[in-house]
This record gives sequence, structure tokens and C-alpha cells, in this order.
Amino acid sequence: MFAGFFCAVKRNFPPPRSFFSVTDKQRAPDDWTVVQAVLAGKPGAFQTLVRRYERQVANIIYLSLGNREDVEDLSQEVFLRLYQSLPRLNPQRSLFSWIYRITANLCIDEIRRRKIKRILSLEFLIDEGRSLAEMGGRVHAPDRILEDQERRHAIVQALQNLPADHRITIVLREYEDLSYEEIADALQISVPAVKSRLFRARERLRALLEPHLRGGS
Amino acid sequence: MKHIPKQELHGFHDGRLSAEREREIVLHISSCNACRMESEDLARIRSWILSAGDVRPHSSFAGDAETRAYDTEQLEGQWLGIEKVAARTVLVLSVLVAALTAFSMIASPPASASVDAVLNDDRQDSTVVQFMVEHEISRDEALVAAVTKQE
Ligand SMILES: [Zn+2]
Repeated sequence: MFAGFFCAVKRNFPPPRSFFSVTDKQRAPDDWTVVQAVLAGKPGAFQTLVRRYERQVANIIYLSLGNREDVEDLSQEVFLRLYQSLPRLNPQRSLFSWIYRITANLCIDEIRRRKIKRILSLEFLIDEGRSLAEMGGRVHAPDRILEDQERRHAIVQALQNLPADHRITIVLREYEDLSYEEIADALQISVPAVKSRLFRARERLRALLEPHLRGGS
Repeated sequence: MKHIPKQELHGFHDGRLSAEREREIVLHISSCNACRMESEDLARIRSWILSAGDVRPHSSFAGDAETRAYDTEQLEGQWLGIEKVAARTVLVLSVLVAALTAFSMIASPPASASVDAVLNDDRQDSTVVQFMVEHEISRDEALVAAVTKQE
């Protein structure tokens, strides 16, 4: 329905890392100043906040769910939940970790909901078969140098083979560059749990992407 | 040569090790193919995930989000009004129903007390039929049995 609303960026699009290179304390006052404006009903204030995090939220959702079609609806849902929760938030804490928590919970719920739906409709048999066939095709061509687009597709597919909580953990680490502590805070788990999820997620990805890792740059 | 434990390679990849240990690992990697390959795999996976996250919201997304948020709030306010009216109506109706029930209990005794009541009540009639079938007795006998049982 919203196809085309979200657009893929050219391959050299810079990831939003710079925003997260500042420390928590440095970024927190800015966010909370904006939140105050939102709570005071200032027009445009909420979109300032949305603009600040929309790309991160959209990509966490995309990487976690593996398709672009639902990114906009789910992103809207994240920001709606954020908006509704603003009056109850503690200004001592970082807003971004709250946004990640909402996004992560939504993704995990959505992944589980879809899994149940797929199992019920037995579609998963077809899907699994298709993705395995795609993987298999590459196993037989290890010397093939993969194009960027193909590789991006492969990594997104591989991510979909991880359990929901592992998937969101590795996306927050590798894409958002969050520290173990920040991930633990966003997902409400311990730092050792983050470490263990990351370890297992990466080892699984390594196994799934073996042909790509050995075949190309 | 003793390889770097996998967990430690992941820690190295995430910058979680001491400067001292990092130096040792860099040194080891420079001369160990297996560990270097593992380390490079981790770096590649990271860079692929980074490049895969290429979705950029449309320029009107933030404005839409704000409109939707404000609209929902207004809608909820309206619903809250409707809900209040609905809640009051339900309360008034409940009180009315309770009062009517109490009145009917006082005005007429419980229906199970007489043979007439048994005859007039379908459910109790089915009890009579059950008695007839179970005990192979006439309708009148069953009626007496059903009423006796109820009393
Ligand atoms: Zn080694």
C-alpha cells in the first residue's frame, strides 16, 4: 500500500552513525528540550523528534522484518507509541533508548505474529524452500563475486533466519552501533545476555553467509 | 599456535578488550590465517548489515507522524466522551435490571414449587421426559417424581 513511500538509498548512502557517536549525556538534553515543546503542544515539535530518529527506526524494522512494504506502517506505529508515552517518560533517562525499546518490542511481536501466521498458512514451507534454494545456488558458485545489491539481499535473508531476539540484538549492535550496555537497556536484558545473543547471532550468520564470505570481498 | 578464543574475537571486534589484549590479538592475527579470517568475517558481516540498512523515510514521513499523533489524541478525547456516556447508560440500566429482578422475586414465589409451574416450564418439562424415559413410567408418574425431586 505504501510501496514507494520509503525509498532505497543509493549504495553509498552514509549510515547514521555520526548521530550516535556523541555520548548519551550530550544528546539527552536536546531530545528532552524537544519533548518539552511537544508536551507544550508546539506545532512541529514532534516532527523534529521523528526526523531525528526516523531513519534508524525504519532500518531496524527493515533489517528485522526483511521487507520494505511494512516499514512505513510499523514506523508510524513506533512514533505513535512514542508520542503516547511521552508524558510518562523519565527525563533522567535517554530518549533514544526508549525509542529503541519501542521499536524492538514492536519488531519482536511482529516477527512472532508473522511466524505464527506463516505456520498456520503453511506458506513457510514455500518460503524456506525458496531461500534455501537461493543460498544453495550460491554454494555452487563460490567464486562468483557478488554485487552489492545481491549481498544486501543475502544478509537481509540471513538475518531472517535468526530468532527474533537475536536478530534485533545484532541489528542494534551492527547497524545502530549501540554498546552492549545500551542494547541491554533497550531490550531490558543483562549485558551477558547481550553478549551471548551477539555471539550466537554472528556465528549463525557466518555459517549462513559462508558462500558469500568465501566468495567475495 | 594457540588460537584466539571465539568469544574473545567477538569482544575484540566490539572493542571490549583492554588495550594490552587488543595488541596481542592484532599481533596474533597478523600471523594466523584462521583467526584473521574469522575476524574479517565479523567485520564483513557488520559492513554488509550497515550497507543493507538503506531505507530512508520519505520527506513527509515526520509530518505525517505528527498529524497522526495529534489526530489520534483528539480522536481518543472524543472517544473518552462517548465512553463516559456509554458507561453511565450501562450503570443506569444495570440498576434498573437489578431492581426489576428483585421486585419479581418478591412479587411471585420461585416457579419450582408447584405442578403447574413444572407443566409450564419447558426446561422442567424436559426433566419430566427424562424421568419417563429413564424409569419407563407414565407422564403423570414422571411429573410427580420431578416435582418431588425439586421439593
Ligand atoms: Zn589463530
